[in-house]
Amino acid sequence: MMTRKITYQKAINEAIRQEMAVDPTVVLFGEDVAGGEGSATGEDDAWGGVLGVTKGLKKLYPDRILDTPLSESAIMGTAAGAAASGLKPIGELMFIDFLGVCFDQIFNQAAKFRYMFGGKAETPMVIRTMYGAGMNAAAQHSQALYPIFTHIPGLKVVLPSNPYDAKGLLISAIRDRDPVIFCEHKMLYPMKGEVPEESYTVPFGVANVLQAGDDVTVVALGQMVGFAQQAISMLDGVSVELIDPRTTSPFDDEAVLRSVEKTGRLVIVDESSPRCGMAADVASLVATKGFNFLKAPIINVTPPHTPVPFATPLERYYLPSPERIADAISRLASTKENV
Amino acid sequence: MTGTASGTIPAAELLQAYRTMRTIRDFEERVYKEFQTGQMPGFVHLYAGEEAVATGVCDVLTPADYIASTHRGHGHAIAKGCDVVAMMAELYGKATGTCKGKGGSMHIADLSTGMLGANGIVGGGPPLVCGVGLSAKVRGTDQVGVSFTGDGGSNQGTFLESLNFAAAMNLPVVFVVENNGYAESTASSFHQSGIDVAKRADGFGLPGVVVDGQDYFAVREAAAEAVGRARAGGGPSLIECKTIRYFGHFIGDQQKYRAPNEVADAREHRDPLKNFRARVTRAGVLTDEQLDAIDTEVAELIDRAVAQAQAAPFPAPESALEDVYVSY
Amino acid sequence: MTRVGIIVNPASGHDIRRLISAATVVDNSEKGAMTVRLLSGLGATGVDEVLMMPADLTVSRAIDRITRSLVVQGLTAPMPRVTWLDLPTTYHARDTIAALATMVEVGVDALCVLGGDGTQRLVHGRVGEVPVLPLSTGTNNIYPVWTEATVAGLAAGRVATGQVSREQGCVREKALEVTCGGRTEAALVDVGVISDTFAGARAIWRPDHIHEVVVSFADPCAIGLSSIAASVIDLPRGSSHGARVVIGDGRLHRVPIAPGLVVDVPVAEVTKVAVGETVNLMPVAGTISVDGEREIERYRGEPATVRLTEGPWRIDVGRVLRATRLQRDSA
Repeated sequence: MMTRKITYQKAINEAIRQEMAVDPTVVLFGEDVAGGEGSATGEDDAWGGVLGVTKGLKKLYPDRILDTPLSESAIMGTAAGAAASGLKPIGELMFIDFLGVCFDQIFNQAAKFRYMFGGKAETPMVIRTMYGAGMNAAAQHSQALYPIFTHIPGLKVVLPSNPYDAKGLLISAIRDRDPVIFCEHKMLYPMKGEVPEESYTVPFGVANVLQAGDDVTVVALGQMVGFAQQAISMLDGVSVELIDPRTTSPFDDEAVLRSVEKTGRLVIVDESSPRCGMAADVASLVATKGFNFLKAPIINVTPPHTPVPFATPLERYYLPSPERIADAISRLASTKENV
Repeated sequence: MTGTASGTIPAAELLQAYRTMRTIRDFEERVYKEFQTGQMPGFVHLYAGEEAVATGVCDVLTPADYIASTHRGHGHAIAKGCDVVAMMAELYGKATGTCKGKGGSMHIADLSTGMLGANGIVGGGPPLVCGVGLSAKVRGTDQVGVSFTGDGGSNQGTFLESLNFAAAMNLPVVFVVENNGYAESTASSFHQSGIDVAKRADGFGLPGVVVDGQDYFAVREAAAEAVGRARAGGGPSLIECKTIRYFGHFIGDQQKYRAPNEVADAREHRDPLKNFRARVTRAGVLTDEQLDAIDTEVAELIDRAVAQAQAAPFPAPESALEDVYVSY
Repeated sequence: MTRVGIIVNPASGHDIRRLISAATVVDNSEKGAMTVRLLSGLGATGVDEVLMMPADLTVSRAIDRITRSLVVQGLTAPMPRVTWLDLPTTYHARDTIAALATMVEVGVDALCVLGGDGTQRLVHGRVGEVPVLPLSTGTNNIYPVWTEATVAGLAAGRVATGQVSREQGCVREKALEVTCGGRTEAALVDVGVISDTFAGARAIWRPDHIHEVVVSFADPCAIGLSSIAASVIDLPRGSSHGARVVIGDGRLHRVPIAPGLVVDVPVAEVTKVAVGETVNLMPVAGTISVDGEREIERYRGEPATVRLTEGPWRIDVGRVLRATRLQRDSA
């Protein structure tokens, strides 16, 4: 296998390109996914998505990379209707924050077709959406709203933390027969990593154990995986097991419970809001199914219960930092057995 | 078949149209009756009075075409070919129901017949048929997507977004508006700015026409033109059918917001089945005997549907866990 | 006191011709704006009061909004007082019929009717000798004229106030009364024998479904069924005759049958029809159209007749305004 390093952004682009090449029913549409449709200059691939993630695809698949009107409900509903009638659509929700104007089509329509219709429908669609803080995009363009999708039975929710996973998980998402919310962290787009050129899949519901350890289990998602790695590198003498669940629905309960059984200590690092967020969810899992493994209280490292602020110092304060994560790990590691 | 003018509808098709309308009417009247016994759970919204709309539209569609329906969806489901016995069982929440007892009245769907589902969300359907249209366009088929929406639903953003979306992307879609004069209990003379929803199409550059929704022939002819246009690549259009709801918004609605004689008057003078029967018999296309025979057959079908539904088993409780995902 | 009635059909302009051809679309805000233009013309000529048929909110609010802004700004001559009739709105022809009856009963000096041919034909036989200004809300109509409503209002106002007499400013139109199966319907332009069994979506655009046409006038500038007659005979409005045209086995004539639809129609026979004359329609099973819409379902082709009669007094905008100028010049 030839190894080369490409960005998270390029990995996503490559996954779409490769799937479109093998499956003529794969279609990608949304606002500015080509960018420039109907333009006077004739450059109909001017943007390739607001941050250029889908750049170049319009030229390869002019009839399947489609700019749309700025109408999120219509885009999401079109994805659901198309999925139920023979396509494998990838609908783009430019920022996850925009779910507020189109959520019905996702959670009441796409997510429930199969169940409401007694198992007689399949809705093989992907919603690609960008989330997360770190770019001074402020309160309406920076949220980490994936717990809201995770809450809905019928949806699958994917959060790649690196280029390799981004490609493999997206190919899995496109091939999946259920609706998948594919959440791309905007701060990870430039991240480089080894990504095979050929097509491959990364399965859903299988956590990635990035490093094995014995003292503390750290569960981190998305951008927080890298932050946790930085935190771990700051620490001496603590053996940390770092787990990236990769998907929040389905969720690899076993991987987390197995690890906590070994370490007895758990830090959960999550970028979503603390109330009803993923940290609370994973903590609940361990409290209900792994209580006897615990040697110390679980520590959740999350943003405060506020909107995402704009100014750089505020946004830095908001996001869990490697320092805060390191502090949590070392505090937990220093607790005695059976507190 | 599709695209036929009213002057040339074969007698066999007219007979089938009557059968469909009669089935919808009897199904709804019977559900109304059975619901009172307390055996039928949930919220039920009846389509009686509006039969000519679903039937006139679905009669010009092929099985490969799709429709997206509303909370008042029994008529659309029957007109698009869903099995009536299974539908009745679904209303009773039985294992033999269209959706194995998981959907109920508001979610009857059968993708094998092109019925994309009744919908509990007002305005939920129009974006979905944009998807059908896009699917047909990308796959190179001549399928058409039709959404049914009420006058209430026509005030939803999803409906207005979809008009623009379908027009901008030139999708093979037809938006049928069933204007029965009420969004639940609120009169359209109040809730709509402008009494004709069809006029909203003007602003989006798609044709919008108004037809008498109590008249099968008017609905069918307009639908044939709209569907034919969409199939031929001519893009979306909107048909507003002025129609009348014989029952309340849901079973149990006391309807004090309606004039006391409103429904009785409509049943007497504007009934789509009576209207149809009078015209086809006077024209000599069909006979009263033929139509009476259908009345009898349909009555037997509905009796059978109720009996089978009542006798059918409830789904196993654990089946509540099935069919959330294809795989998880 | 001078009083004028205004009928605005809020439901006009959305028949199937928008789908099958390229018919004009006039939205209701425009109908409201047209009404304001009409009011300003009426007010400027001294009309005191206007009785309005109840309208759709998109019409009535447009009238209210624009009228207020014009009056507040003092930009135009005084507007007449507007009285909305207290009648139920059902958005059917019966609304127009009820409004006409009320206006005639209360007493109006002129009527202005905004709508298509289908609205205008309801006037025949219901308003006696009251002069009527028919204003089209689209370009697909034959009887009502498509003209500037301010100017039309000036003309209607001058007739209503007696500044120009009815005889000077109006044309006595002809009408067609079709009777079939005990039912009588009026037409102002044409009656057609159509082979569609059912009225369906009403408009007519398939030439092979047309068997016979009777017209009250034949204007080569008109669109629709009467254009078939106009292709073979010239009978201007106000002339003493109408005509009957039999379709089939004859020379093909290329005619504008509907907006955006030009078709070839074979004409077998054309004959003049005098006012007062009754014509027996061909015994074809199907429908009979009035002013371009399939209206009467004529099962098994039972007997049907059409009589050409005198129709309403139509206010002719050009004639009124020319007469006004002549009066001024001679004064």
